Amino acid sequence: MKNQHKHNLLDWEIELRQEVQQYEFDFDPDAWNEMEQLLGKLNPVNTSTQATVTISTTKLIGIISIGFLLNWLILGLVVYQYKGEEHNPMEQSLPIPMEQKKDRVNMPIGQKEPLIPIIESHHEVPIQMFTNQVIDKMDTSTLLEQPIIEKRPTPAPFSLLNTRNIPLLKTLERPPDTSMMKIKLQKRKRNRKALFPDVIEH
Amino acid sequence: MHYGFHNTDKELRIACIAGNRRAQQVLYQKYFGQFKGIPMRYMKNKEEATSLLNQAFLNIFNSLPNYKEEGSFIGWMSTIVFRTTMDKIRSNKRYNERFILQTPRENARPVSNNAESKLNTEHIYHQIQQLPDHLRVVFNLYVIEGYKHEEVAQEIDIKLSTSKWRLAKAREILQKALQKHYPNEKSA
Repeated sequence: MKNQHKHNLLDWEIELRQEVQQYEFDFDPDAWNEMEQLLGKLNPVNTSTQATVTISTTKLIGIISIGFLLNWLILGLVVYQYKGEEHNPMEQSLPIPMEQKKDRVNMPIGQKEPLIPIIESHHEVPIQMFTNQVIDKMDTSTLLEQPIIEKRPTPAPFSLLNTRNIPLLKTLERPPDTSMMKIKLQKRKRNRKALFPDVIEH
Repeated sequence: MHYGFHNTDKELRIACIAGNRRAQQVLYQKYFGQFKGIPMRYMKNKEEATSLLNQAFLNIFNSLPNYKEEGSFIGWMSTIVFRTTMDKIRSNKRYNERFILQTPRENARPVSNNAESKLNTEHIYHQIQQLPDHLRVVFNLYVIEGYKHEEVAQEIDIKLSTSKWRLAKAREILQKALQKHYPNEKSA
């Protein structure tokens, strides 16, 4: 704005000029509302601190939840391992032989029944061989009367598969007489002269 | 910090640069009345003037980091408001319309007897706003801003003779409109 000359102005123009320049308009709140919208479009309100707080809270919640989840998994695994050693649900579901039932009746109160029967005389023998020997010596007629007991091995937790000592399996070695025989398969030659020999033979 | 009218312009300026909305509001409110007159003289109505003033304040807020503390802060801001107004005028075709001789507009507010005695500055503003756009710009630049005809012609890209002619027409119309306000004046 120049505003420095007084060239060829009439008196009323000079008066008008002074009046106009010295006048101050009243503040209009609506104008500020409009201005705020303009500022909001261009520069949103400084919410950097709010955003930081929100982000950090979200991160904190995420970390806590991940930690809780991991803790829960580890605890669950440990509890499962201990339960797996003490309690085998498969044993309960299987029928109990009559002799064992009698033993249980005669067992003093407070004594715990061993989870896995200890076979002292056969602890050096592989399971399969022991079972076969027992079956050979047994009177097979009695087997029909007794319910079949199926002993299934307790599933070991995956983390202890290589570290846990499984009873009766520590000396699991193949005896010399149980070497597997190799079956030699002869190569079959096709008689080209015969039509569909297999079909004709069978 | 809670900003208010007790804060200096420098404090407000620094806070505005930091994006403090309250400081922006205080600065806006502080100078609204002074700067409102600039677009009011050039625009046709109050709404257009307010919208243009807001645009000017937006330019001020954006240019605050570039302000070097040389000269007065108010002068620097009023220059931005004026330049914004000029930019608007140049971008508007109607300011370069061919002049058609007009009598005072039919929709011009009639001056009542009561208002006659109470003519105030806002009425003068109103009468200036009633001028045709191309005349109003020349009148304001020459009479209010103090431009010479050469500068007026350069500012709004018109011929020198056109500037003189438009000023003469604006004077004629406005003097008639404000005759009762300035009764002792003779036409130039």
